[in-house]
Amino acid sequence: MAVTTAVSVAGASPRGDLRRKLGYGALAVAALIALWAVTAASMNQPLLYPGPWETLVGMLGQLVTADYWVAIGLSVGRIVLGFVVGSALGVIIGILIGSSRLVRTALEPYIHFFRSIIAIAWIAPAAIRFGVGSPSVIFLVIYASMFMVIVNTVQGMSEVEEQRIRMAQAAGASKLQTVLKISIPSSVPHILSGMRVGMSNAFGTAIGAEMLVGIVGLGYTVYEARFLFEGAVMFGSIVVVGILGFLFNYVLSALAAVGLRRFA
Amino acid sequence: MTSTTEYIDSDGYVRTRVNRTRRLLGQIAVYGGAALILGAIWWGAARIFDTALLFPGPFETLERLWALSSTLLENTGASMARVGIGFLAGGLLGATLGLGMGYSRRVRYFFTPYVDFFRFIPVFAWFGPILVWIGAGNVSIVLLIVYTSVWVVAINTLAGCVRVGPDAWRMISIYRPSRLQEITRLLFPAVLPYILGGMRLAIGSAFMTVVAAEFLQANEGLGALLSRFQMFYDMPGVFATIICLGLLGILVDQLFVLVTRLLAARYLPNGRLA
Amino acid sequence: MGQRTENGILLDKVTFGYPGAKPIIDNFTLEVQPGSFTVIVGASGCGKTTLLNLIAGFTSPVAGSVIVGGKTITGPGPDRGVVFQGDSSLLGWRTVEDNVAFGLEIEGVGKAERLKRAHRALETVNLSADHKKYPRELSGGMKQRVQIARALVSDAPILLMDEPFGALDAITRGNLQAEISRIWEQDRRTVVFITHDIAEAVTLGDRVCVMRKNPDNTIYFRQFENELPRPRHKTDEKFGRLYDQIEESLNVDATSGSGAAA
Repeated sequence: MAVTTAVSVAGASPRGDLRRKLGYGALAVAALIALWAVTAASMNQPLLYPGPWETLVGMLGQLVTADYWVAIGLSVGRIVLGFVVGSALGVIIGILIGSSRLVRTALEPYIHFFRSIIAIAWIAPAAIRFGVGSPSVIFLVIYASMFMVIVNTVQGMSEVEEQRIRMAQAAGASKLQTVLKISIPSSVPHILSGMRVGMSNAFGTAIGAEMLVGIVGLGYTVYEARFLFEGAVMFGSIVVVGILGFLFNYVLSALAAVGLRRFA
Repeated sequence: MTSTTEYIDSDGYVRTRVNRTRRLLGQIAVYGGAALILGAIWWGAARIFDTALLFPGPFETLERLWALSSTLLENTGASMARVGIGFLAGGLLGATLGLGMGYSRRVRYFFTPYVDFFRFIPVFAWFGPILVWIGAGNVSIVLLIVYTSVWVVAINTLAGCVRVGPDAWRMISIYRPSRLQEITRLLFPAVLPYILGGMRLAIGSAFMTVVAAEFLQANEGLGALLSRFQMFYDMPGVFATIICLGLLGILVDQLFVLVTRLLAARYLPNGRLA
Repeated sequence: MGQRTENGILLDKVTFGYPGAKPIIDNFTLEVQPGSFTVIVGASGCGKTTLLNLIAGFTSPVAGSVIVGGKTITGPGPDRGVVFQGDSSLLGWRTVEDNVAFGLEIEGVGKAERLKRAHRALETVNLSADHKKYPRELSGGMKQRVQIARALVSDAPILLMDEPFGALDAITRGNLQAEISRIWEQDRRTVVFITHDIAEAVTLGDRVCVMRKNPDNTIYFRQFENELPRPRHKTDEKFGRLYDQIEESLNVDATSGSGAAA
């Protein structure tokens, strides 16, 4: 019946709710770990499919080595650099395209065309131009973040509420003034959501590119661990990747919430 | 500058008079101009790099694209088959998960840790493990696609569920519905736009995943082609495949929008997906 | 205000509509006297917002011309301030005073002068204390007052108001009606006010224009002069009589058998 549905109508006790939330959450995590342990034990291949305990031990062994942290650092560095540059470019290009209906109509098909192409497809040209190394990966990360931001920025600029534009017209604003004072601030939520997707694109692309290019980094570690029969490292690194992904997303959202609240 | 003017016709209706030649010229100028400018930039960039084989210009690429058309078509079929199965399965799974989480607080509390954790692990990270456990081949690729699709669709579905207003729930409770009725008569139709929106995103990422997966480990498919061309430094081939990928991406996306409009228009605000 | 002669409005045989349909208004003429408070009252969809948009310059007529202050207008401008329905025109990322000063900022007025004039306008609408707040921190009534202040600050000789109090509760509405009356009495701008609320029309307007769309799509337009002294009370007998006249005008005449009442 409707009373037990998730859309909490007023009346549910908040503290009881929190306890329940944590309770179920903990149950879920425990269930997953248990499932993991059971399947690992039945497969009995500790080098290729380690259980939770072996993974933990193996990872602790890794985490005390400088090499592992170097790999993490390199990956993070590439992602951050690529994302910042890509987003900045994306916002600028997006604003330029979005401020003119003519330019937007003309370029829209091409933007969508490039956006549909996974960044990794460009690895061959990138490697040839930039060599096999960080610059190629960063280039791909820039590509991956940029187009998502462009698409969302352009959409934001085209969806500014008509009343606002009319109000600016009534005030006698020129086109430039309207773009600067009305369209761009109104588009900030769109830009942010584009950046959020761009961030997860950037993250995924970096991991994937590191795999393909074969340079030191988390992506490479995860992919190659199977050759070294280091199942623990493989699994553990996936967890590290997940944690990193969560952190990136969290930091981005926090920055946005703090700095850009008034644009909501 | 405008090619349309308004007037009142003899029956008293407002009509627009379109200067067709002017409008056509305008469109040619805009689209043609953009194509020419971009094409020229491409051509110029290729010249700067000097070695046409390492950075082919528009002409070499189009030539190669034409020559490769049948190969590309075949491989497109292979890729799309994997995408189709994976995306549908993943979408179904994701929608079910999302609906469950949206309907029952307990289900939501239980699955939230999974969703919040796995959504941040890019599918690429699983390439290695999947190869070890299942080996290369269609099954592993499809599984990867299912993985990509599930979380996107689940998250979007859940977001839609939260937006069903409390008044709608109150209204349906008047008729003492069963749980199943609550889900099928209220939750699912209300949330359908979000499910479809999520599936549209999922198709896009499924597509990208399949290309990457094929690149690493398959023999047919567009990703495999890309890998092969790259290995032989066949840059025109690479570029031709990339163009094919881009066009395919747009086509698939637009097809999805069209199909949803045909089948589910009345469930969508404004009759169509954004 | 030296602009008395510049704030008359004339809609001269104006026709407007959307392609593929009959015009919303056809060959329509209306003259608004400078310095008058004109209220256009009618049901939703009768075309009153269309009239306002034409006067404001947001839309252009298919035939005929809109003449303000003796000159045909070609688009919106700071000589016609607009208060919109709802709060979409308020800029959420700017404080109240920056919203009010927006027009001055566009015109290039210096910061100190801008803020001074904005504060003066905010004082007029009794919002001085809230000048540093953001729109989302304001109530509905306060937000509409910000819009009014924004329209006042440019000293626009004409004020156009599109159902500005429609989304507010009745009590707040009453307060704002009193306020706009008071403001108008001070400097006698030309005001064109759109509403669907008959009581509001009688309270505010010196000229009340009834606008009704007939079943055959023609427009019924009738002007009433309201000579009741301000402040006007709803409980007044004369108020009631004028109200009844207007209400009767708004409803399709039952004896003419032209269909259901509006």
